[in-house]
Amino acid sequence: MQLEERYTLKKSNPAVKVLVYILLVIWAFINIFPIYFMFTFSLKSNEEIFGENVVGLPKEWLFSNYVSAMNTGNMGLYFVNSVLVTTVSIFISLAAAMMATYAITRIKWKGANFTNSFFMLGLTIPLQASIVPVYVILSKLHWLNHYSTLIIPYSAFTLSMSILICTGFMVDIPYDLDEAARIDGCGLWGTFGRIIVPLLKPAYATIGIYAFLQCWNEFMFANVFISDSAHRTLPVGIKALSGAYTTDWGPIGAALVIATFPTLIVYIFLCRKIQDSFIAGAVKG
Amino acid sequence: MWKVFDMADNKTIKRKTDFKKGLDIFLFLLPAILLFVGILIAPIAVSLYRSLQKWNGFSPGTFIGFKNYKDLFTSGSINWMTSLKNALIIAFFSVFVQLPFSLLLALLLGRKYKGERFFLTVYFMPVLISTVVIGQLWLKIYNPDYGILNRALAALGLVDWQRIWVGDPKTALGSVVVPTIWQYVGYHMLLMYAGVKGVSPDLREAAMLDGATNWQVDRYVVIPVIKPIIRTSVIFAVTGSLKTYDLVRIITNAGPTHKTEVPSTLLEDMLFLRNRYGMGSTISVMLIILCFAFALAITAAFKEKEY
Amino acid sequence: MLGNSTYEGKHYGVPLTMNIVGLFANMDLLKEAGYDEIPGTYEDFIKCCDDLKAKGITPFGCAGKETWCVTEYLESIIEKSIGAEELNNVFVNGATWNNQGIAKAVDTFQEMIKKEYFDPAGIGLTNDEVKANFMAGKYAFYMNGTWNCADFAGNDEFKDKVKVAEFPVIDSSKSKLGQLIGGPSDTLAVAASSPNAERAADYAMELGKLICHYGYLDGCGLPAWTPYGDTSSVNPLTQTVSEIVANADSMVLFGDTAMTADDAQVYLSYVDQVYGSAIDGAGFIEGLASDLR
Repeated sequence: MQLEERYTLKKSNPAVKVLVYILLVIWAFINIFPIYFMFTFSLKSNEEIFGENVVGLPKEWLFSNYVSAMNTGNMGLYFVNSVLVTTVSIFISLAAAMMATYAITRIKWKGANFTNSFFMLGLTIPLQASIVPVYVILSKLHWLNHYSTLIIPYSAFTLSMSILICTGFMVDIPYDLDEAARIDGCGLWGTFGRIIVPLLKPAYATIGIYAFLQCWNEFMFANVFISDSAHRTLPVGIKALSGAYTTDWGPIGAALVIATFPTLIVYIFLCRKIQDSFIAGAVKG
Repeated sequence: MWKVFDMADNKTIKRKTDFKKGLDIFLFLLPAILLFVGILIAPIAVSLYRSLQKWNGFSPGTFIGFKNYKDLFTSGSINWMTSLKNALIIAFFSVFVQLPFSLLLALLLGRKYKGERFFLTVYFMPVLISTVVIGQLWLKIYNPDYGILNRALAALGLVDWQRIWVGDPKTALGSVVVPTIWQYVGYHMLLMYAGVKGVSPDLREAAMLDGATNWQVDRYVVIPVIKPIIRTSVIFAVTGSLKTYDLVRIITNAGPTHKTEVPSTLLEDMLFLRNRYGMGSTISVMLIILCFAFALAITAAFKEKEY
Repeated sequence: MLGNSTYEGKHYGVPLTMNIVGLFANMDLLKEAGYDEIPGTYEDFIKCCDDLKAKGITPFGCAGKETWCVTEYLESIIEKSIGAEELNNVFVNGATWNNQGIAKAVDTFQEMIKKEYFDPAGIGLTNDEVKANFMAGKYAFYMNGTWNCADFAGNDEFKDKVKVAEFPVIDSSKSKLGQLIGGPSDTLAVAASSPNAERAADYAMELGKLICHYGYLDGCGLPAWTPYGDTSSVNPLTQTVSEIVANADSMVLFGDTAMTADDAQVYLSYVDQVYGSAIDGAGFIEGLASDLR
């Protein structure tokens, strides 16, 4: 494309370009290193991790770390729990956000702007502030140690961001379609279900990613609200591998790899789609 | 096919449709409102209530008025001012070091160099990795004996510059600031990159035709266009810094002697180590007030610049 | 002994296991400095540290990042200076912290830091790192809980090098051998409001005894209940410690376990400052006296 070529090739000093590349490559190396580090320490013993061989490839490849993470560490179950909690939370957050955004942006009524600002306040509330009150209420209702114990708060936390993203995408849907649906006799609900929901597809991926990032690694609530191991999620399970006084760090590394590698694999393969969605979502923000 | 109405019917029907419309709006908003108020808003009210009490989390609390707030600022064993100062320092570096670097990367990648997609992917990775890994990694870098940092300094002949990075009161906070800033460069970079990509090529073309260099295009065309995104990033950076927790816990454990305490570690100590839930609620309330105040201030600051 | 599970005269829990603070030593390193046994008197002990330093060996490793590790050293020093009863009074029975004996003991501890008996890097290390260093032969001594016996004895390379003993008496007019820091701290309790509370309590009692028994056999704890059956399989380190305990006549529970949660945190923050040399013995007792009692 001539236009784009012109604005990048024109007046770019080759020396500067080389320097820029060096910077980018160094920074890339600095960012990839933690992944290499995580993989290697998941296969080492405490002795190697803490002194003998901090950076290099494992001298002894302890695949047993993975075995112990899966067996005594129970990472398989925690993985499933995390997946369950995260996906349902994303689903609820998405549904609630779409409905709320529809009301705020597509229906004309007086409190619309105020309601929007109200939800945006949620972006600035620190989550730790809610932990004690919510815990007290849930424990009085005997509602601890269920999947819903985490799903409900997680949905709430991701709500503000989801509404923000939906608002952005909602603008792209032409009002003509609403009109057309109205003339065809659809009420508000019909318009919502038949027009809006299908056309918000780009928003699903964007919200999915933001919400996933928040729920998958969430520790504080998961630790306090779930005390039985049947419902435990990954971050808590990994912390539980630390002993009271001493810790075997190899299996923790293995557990971390188990927790992180799906994120990384999904991220790399869907990288293109995600970046496009992320970009689209953020521009609207 | 339109029926003929008389005035009375009009009003009734309007009231009925208004009512139905109001009901629909309410129903559409209902799930979001329930979640939001139940999990985010109501707890703030409860926190406010509990912050005026002395409460161990089990027995009924005793009302003590604003004593918690007073203790927060005056008690010798509660390092509120230190924690606040540390959080603000982290916020400062976040806004004035991390964000400019993220912006630089976003601008550079927006120039369509080769390998753009690769760099974009790689730079976002630290955001996906658990802070436990990042914390442990940096601990290995900071270790005084076999850590990469001290070893590199020795190799360069700068033995005097070696330190016990996480244990020395002078360098402890810095040792936390660096990984915190490093981890989220990619997050902000991606946000800004989105904006940069959204700048219409026509604008760029126009500027280049006027003889602008790449840097001038960035400065006078791109940055003004992505101001709203920069504003969002600043708000996230500041509120995120106020809530910093994981890396402080792992790298310095709020030490040495509580010098790198941050509000979140203080909150956790109050709740789970000292059973002072009233004080914990007080800290929560303070955090909320601070986050709001900063969000408003930052929004106002950015508004002024848009003439 | 049951102090930690008792409140206002009633028992509320079953002790699970028991541990004390032990002075672990790497005998290979001590041999290099010319010692075949762990020194039994305080004067010999200090001389041993000096000799170790002369050979370029670091005597102690202590993790500053986890303040409880510092108390493992400090509380033993205090107890062997002022005696178990006095220390217990301060920890548990409401005696004031304004105690010159404690101040002197803290100064003794700081003397050791000044003489560089402690690894300076320790202030930034976690206990795992310090323990790994000890097992790698970096420190001659490691004062920490006897739960470590299992790990040390289970490591083939290290188990023949390590021995454990009691910390020597510093002020023999007030303290003597047989006064230890430790005791049963972990307890199992049953909520009175749970269904079948009485059956659960009986079960908890038996469970406590069994955990104790098998913990002892595995070497990760000491018997809070009198052991039964064949205990010869217990590793030599734990057996040594059991003998020390059997010959002991008083035990003071670890400070941060014996005190209430809030007080314990205040105490630990002062211990922190002592290890970082931010305050001295006088400052320690003044601060605690005004903040606690």
